[in-house]
Amino acid sequence: MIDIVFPITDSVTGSVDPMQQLRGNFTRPISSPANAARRGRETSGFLQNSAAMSLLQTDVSPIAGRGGLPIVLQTHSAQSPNLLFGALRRILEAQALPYDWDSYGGVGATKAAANRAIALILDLWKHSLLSDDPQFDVIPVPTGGIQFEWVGGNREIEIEIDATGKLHTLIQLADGTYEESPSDPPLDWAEFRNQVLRIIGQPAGA
Amino acid sequence: MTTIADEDIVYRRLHQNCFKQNGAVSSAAFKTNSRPDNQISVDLARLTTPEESVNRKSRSGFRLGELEAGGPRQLGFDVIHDRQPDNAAHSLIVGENSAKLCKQLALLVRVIPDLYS
Repeated sequence: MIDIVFPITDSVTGSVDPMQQLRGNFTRPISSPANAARRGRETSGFLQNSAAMSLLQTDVSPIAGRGGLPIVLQTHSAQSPNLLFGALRRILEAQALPYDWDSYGGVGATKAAANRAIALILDLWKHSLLSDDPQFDVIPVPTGGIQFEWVGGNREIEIEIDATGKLHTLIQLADGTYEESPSDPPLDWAEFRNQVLRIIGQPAGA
Repeated sequence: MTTIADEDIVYRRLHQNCFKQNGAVSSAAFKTNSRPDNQISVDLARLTTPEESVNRKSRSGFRLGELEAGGPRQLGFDVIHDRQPDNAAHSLIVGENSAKLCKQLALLVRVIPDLYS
């Protein structure tokens, strides 16, 4: 494993964010800016998710760093990338958790769960739905899934990506009641997006 | 087998990953990978100590949550003593579980302050 370091230039403020260190599964060092540019596109493959890679290639332009590493990714989104990379890091950490990490037989996130979670995070970010206001958490689930949780005002939503990659939601409404998605069929992206919008305070379908 | 009263306290170890940014316990803390899935392991407080319970696995990174047995029972669970050879306090919260019930269980938990494994 080689650690790939990404200094991120915020497209809104122009400031260079703190170095974001992420782990990539590469076997060859980067030896030239040309290789770095190529590897910059490949580096996004650390996500090991074709949909995620496609999104990064179209929306995040890799720019070769001098002498290879580090690689600069300049975002085109108005959102700060810190939240994105923090969430991605949490997903990778969930995938790396050992058996019995919770002391009750819990397992790390499966590849299916991690890939679906990464794709969702990128979609949320692309649609400017990834924000720290309301509070957003990425929580590993001992059954091999990953859970996203938003706490907004007097509403909360949990999105669980189970070990097979299926989505399930639980919404706590202002009156204390709950709405729980059926486990079968699982949610699709449109329904999922609308449920998130209800919690973070934007009109559904906006 | 020991009978557990509604007023009895049970402990649940909580990994640091189960906490949200605001310090609240996530419902994920009660989504168990045990077999079968509808049995949540806890320790009966009066048969152990908080220090013993949080350190039972001899690993760092844990805190200890406590809740009254009556809480899960009001949600439809049963709470029964299930003594194990290596843990006399071992007990189970038993019953059909769901995401909503895990959330409600998490809301019942009080995290014991200043206690870490």
